Amino acid sequence: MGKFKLDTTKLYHFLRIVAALLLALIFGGVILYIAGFNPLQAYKLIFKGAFGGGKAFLTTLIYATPLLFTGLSFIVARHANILNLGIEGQLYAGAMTSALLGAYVTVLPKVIHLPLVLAAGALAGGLYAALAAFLKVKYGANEVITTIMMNYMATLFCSYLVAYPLKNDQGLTQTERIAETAQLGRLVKDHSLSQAILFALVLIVVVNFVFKNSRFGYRARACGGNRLAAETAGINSGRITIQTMFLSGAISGLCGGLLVCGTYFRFITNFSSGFGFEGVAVATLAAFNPIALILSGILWGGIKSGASVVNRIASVPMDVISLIQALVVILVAAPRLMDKLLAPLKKFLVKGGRSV
Amino acid sequence: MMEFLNLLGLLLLSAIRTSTPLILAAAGGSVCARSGVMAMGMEGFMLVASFGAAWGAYTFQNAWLGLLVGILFGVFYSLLYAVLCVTFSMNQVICGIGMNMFALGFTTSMTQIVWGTRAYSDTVPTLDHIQLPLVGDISVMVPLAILLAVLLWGYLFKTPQGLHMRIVGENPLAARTIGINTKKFKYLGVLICGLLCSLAGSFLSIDHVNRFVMDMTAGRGYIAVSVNILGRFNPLGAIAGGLLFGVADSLQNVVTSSSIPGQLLSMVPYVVTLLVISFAVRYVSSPAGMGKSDD
Repeated sequence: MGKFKLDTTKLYHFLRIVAALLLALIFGGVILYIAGFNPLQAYKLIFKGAFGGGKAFLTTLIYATPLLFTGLSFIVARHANILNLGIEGQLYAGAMTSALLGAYVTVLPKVIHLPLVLAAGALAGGLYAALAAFLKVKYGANEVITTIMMNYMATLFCSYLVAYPLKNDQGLTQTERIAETAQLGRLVKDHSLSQAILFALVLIVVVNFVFKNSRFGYRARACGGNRLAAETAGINSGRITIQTMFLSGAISGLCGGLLVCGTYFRFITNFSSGFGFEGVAVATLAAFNPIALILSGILWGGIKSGASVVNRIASVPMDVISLIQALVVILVAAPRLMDKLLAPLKKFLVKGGRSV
Repeated sequence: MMEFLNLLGLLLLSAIRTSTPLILAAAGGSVCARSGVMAMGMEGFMLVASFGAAWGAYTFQNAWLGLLVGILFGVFYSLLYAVLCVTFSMNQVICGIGMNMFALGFTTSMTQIVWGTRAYSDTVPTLDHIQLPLVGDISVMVPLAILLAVLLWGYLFKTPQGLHMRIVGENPLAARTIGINTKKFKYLGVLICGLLCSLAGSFLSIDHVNRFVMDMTAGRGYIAVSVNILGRFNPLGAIAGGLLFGVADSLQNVVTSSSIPGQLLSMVPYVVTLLVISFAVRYVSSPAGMGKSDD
C-alpha cells in the first residue's frame, strides 16, 4: 500500500509538469490568435512539421541537439545548486576556440585533429565557467550576475574578432571554413543531421551515471542540498563548486565545438538563437533529470523545428515559442501555484494532503 | 587640451543620460531588496514598460499617454512577480529569470504583431525636454530620477513605515511577532520597484531614443541589480553607482569607432559590472531575509 501511494504522488508530479506545459501552450495560442493565426491550425502545422515523417523527425533532432547539451549543462550545475546562466557565453567560447583551431591548424590527421578541436572547445567553455565559479567562491560574486555579464562579454568579443582581426576577404562576419580534418560526419546519408547527437546521448548517460554513483557526484549533490552540512562532513564545497561549474561549462563548450565541426563548419556571428536560455527551459521541463531531458529536448526541438516551418509563412511563431518556453520555466518552478490550480487532482492523487 | 575638455563634457552629458535608467531601476531595486525580495525581475519590468510606452505613444500619438501606458504595463508585470514570489513563495531568482525571458519573447512577438517587424517599432513621439540652468536642455527624467532616489531614501531610513519595511527584509518572523503585515510590505516593495523600473524602461523608448527596439534593455536590469549591491541597497548609493555605469556605458557614444572597435567599447559596462561585483562589493551584506520565503 505504501508503495502504491508513492506512485500516485509521482504521477501527480508528472501531471503537474504536463499541466504547466499545456497552460503555456494555451497562452502561446492566445498570442498566436492575436497575431491572426488560428492557434489549433498553427499547432497542428507545428506538430506535423516536427514529427510527421522520418525526414521531419531528423530535422527535429537537428534542433534538439544543442538543447540536449545546454540542458545537460544546466542540470549538472543545478545538481550542486548553482545556477549556470552563462551557458550562452561558454557556448561561444567553445565555438570560437574550435573554429580557430579547426581553420588554422591544418597539418594534423583527422584522428588527432577532430578530437583536439572538440577537446579545446570543451576546455574553453569549462574554463570560462570555472572563472565565474572562482569569483563566486573566492569573492562571493553572485553567479547569476557574473554569468549573465560574461554572456554579453563573450558574444561581443566574438563579434569583434570576426569583424576585425579575423575578417575575411568577402567582408562577412565569420571565420574561415574549418579544415576537412576537423569536420564531423553526418549521421545518415542525404540529411544534414550531424553525429553530434550521439555525443549528446552518450554524455547524458555518462553524466547521469557519474552523478548517481561516483564520489564526486555524491559530494556535488551534498553541497547542493546543504552546503553547511556538507562542509561539516569535510567536503570542500568551494572546490566542488568550481569543479561542477567547469564540467557544466565544458559541456556547453563542447556543444559549441560540435556545432562548428558538424553543422556550420565555421564560427558565424550570432549563430546561437539563445541556446543557453533554451537549455534552462528544457532542463526545467525535464525536472532536472538527465534521462527525462532526452524527451524534453526532443519535444522542444520538435516545437522549434515545426515552428520554423510555420515561420516561413509568417514570422511570429519563433518568438511565440520563446515566450512559451519562458512560461514553462515559470510554471514548472512554481509548484505552489500549480497545486492551487490543480487542487482537485492533487486531493485525488496525493493521499493525506501532505505538501509535496 | 580644449578638445579633451570638450570630449570630457560630452562624456559627462552622455553619462548623465545613460545613467538615468540605471539610477531609477537601482533605486527601486533597493526598496525591493530592503523588503526582502530580490529584484531579479527588473530586466523584465523595464522591457515590458519600454514596449508599453512606445506602443502607447504610437497609438495615442502622445508621449505622456505613452508614459502612462508604460507605467501600467510595468507595474502590472511587477505585480505578477510579487504574486509569484510573495504569495506562492516561488524561488525569486528563477522567477525573475523566467519573467525576463517571457518579457523578451512577449515584447518581440508584440512588436512583430503591431509594427510588422520584430527588430524595432516605428518612430514614436518623445517626452518634452526641460531647460535647466547650467546644463541646459535636458530630459525631465534626469532630475526626476534624482528626486525619486532621495525620496525613497527618506522613506526607507527616516520614516516609521520605512523602518518596518527594513525589519521585514531583515527578519520576517520578528516583524510578524511585533504585528507587522509582512506580505503587505513585500508587495509594496516590489510595486515601488516596478514603478521605478517602468520609468526607466519608458525613458529608453520614448525619451532616450524615439522607438522600441528588440531587447532594448540589453541587460540593464541585471546591471541595476549589481548597482544595487554596489550602492549598499541604499537609493542614494544607487545614484553614485548608476553614474559610474553611466560613464562606462557612454564611452561608446564619445569615442569614435575608428580608434577603438565598437564591440570592444560595448563590452565595457559588462566588464565593469563583473569587476565591481567581484572586487568592489566584498563587504556589503544583503538584507538578511532577502530571497527567503515568508513561511
